[in-house]
Amino acid sequence: MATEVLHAPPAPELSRNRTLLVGTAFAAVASIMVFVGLFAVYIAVRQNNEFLVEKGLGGSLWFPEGAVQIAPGTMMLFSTWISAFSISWAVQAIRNDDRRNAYAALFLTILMGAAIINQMAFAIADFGLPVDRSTPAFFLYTIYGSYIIFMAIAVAFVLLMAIRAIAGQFNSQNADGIQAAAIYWYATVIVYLPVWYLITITK
Amino acid sequence: MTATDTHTDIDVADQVSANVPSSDGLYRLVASNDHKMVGRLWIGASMLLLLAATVLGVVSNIERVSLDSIDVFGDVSTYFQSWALLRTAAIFMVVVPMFIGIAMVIVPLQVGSASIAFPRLAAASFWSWLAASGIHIASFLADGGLGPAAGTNDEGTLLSIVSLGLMILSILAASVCIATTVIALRPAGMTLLRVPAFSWSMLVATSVWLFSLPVLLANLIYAYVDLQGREPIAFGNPDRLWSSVEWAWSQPQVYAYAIPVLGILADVVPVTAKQRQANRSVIFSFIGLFGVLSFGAWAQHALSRGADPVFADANYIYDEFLYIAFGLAAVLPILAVLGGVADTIRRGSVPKPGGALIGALVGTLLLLGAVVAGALRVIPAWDALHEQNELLSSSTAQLSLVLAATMAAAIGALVFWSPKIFGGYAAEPLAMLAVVAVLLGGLMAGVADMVSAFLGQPDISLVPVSESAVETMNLLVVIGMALLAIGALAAIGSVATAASSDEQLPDDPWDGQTLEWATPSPPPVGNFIEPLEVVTSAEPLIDEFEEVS
Repeated sequence: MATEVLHAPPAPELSRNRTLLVGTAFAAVASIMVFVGLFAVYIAVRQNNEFLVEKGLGGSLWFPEGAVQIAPGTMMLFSTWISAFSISWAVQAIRNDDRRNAYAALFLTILMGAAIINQMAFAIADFGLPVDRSTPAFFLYTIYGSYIIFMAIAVAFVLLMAIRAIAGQFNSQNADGIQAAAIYWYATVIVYLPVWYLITITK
Repeated sequence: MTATDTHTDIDVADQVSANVPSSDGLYRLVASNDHKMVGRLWIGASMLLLLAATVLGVVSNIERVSLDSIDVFGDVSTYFQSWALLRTAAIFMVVVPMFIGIAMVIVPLQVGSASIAFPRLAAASFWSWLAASGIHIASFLADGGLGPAAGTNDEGTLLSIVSLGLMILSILAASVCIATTVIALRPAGMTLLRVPAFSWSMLVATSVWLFSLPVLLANLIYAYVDLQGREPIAFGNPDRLWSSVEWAWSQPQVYAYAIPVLGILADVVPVTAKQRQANRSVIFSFIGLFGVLSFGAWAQHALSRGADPVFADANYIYDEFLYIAFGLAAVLPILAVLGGVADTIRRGSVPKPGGALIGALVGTLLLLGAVVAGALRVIPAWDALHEQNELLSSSTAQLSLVLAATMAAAIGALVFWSPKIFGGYAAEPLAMLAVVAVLLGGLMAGVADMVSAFLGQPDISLVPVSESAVETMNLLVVIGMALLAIGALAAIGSVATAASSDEQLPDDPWDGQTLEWATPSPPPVGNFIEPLEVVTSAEPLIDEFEEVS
């Protein structure tokens, strides 16, 4: 009997529900859809404006010359990419039980998030168009403002998970919290791409 | 201890037994994050708001019986405010919360989970939704509103926008809890195809809500910013505010709120016919297809013509091929689900007609009616009518039919699952009265508004139309709404009977097939007394019965 037990196959690993990962994925999709809604209306109104300008029926130059600078927007794009790298680094580090690297990566991610918020606030201050007299300015302020809130939520999420990691939670067996924060962070990176293209590039 | 905790641990308050002093009972009500208690709160609040909404529907439609004067509300603006409040209440205070409440109790039981995912978030979603609903109603009293030319007070309108946004956020939070429960908390062996039909329909519904309602939130963000300290461009302009969010109350999005109706039918029929549901994958696929076809965030006027008034005469979304095609195609999945359950009835024993079965059937047929009403847009006469008026009362007809469909199906669900939700049997005679009243009321209101639409009655104004028959139709709508109010009252009575019952119920009074019937009635904290065995089919209780016998 004892021999049979010794030669029995190992017990199957208990499946762990991935509640936080799944829930965060749903929340990330919902957050992305808010921006899909914002972009869709922006594009439609802008196309109508171009149509009106072409036909000589009215409309206005969408962003006046020099109002939107390419440098701040592109800097923010690079910042989001760096943060995508750093949050991936945090996930890999925690899955390898490398806590020192995980803390460093989480700190860098939070720092990049704060930098993006700062850059966006700077871009808004530097924009120069009064919000109360311009349709393009209305859209820019709304989209940038919404993105700042989105990024602030992501920063708070990563910060919460970083505090939990420092308190001893998460390891190679259970990295759900960090992975969930990473999923939400990737959503902010994905959303910034169309923000950059629609406002900084196509102006 | 936040909503992101991965543990599904139970609050200490939930450990309190049923025999507690009344003060502890109130504490338990407010502080509990047990999914059954939170679900009951959602159901109770939405039923009371249903009664209020149907009464508002009666009053609001009395105004339209005589189109040449403002008799009830005193002025057009107040009428528009009640018109918009009726719509926001019908969808976001009644229909969606009702299904969320039923799902919060039943879905974890059906998927064999000890709790809902993120129980604290689930509780928070209810209280924030309740607060937002109260603020939303108050905002209308403060001269706010979303309706055309409704908000005469900018601050009141801002409050309406913010409170609706908060309601949507609460509903999204609850949707995350329900969808995550279905995806992540299933027991061993329960594949998605083995999930009970109601849980599947809730997964589809919450997914569609999570994809579409954030877009409504985006519209509200634009409206909010537009109203801030400037002359509104379009989105926040009181005259155009409704048209920027109107898609959420129109075809096809309005169907998205009624997706669980199909799941309730597909769960109730096999139990009453005492037969396994054949071709589950086909039924599930069609419920999923209905979900896809009901995604309506793309059907916005702003995306069709832009928000600039110059485009006011061009390209309404109603004329576009995709819009009409989606409306037509949505008929197919409902017919397919009806065919599937009809086959189950044919193969099984003749089901005993009770409130559960009749409610689910009536709900599905009324939903079919709503979709058929939308499909009528293919009739060429609509083009000429739409050239005269942007919104015809057909949108109201569809809304009334969807409201009635969800009411009937929800009554069916509450009767069917009353032993699990309330720990008692719902009063069958009252439930049957409620279903009949809802059927007659829904048909009367829906058909009368459709006829009015063909006579050219606009949806959102009191402009007199040439046909005097419209006023007769509007009188029928009033009677229909009154019947819906009677149905709501009877449903509350039926449910109250179940909630106040002290009777000891068996675990499985209907010979159920799915896991919720393996728990005591009502289920204890943690739901399942013994660990669940590996699920090997979609009907684990039939499997167990067959093994024993």
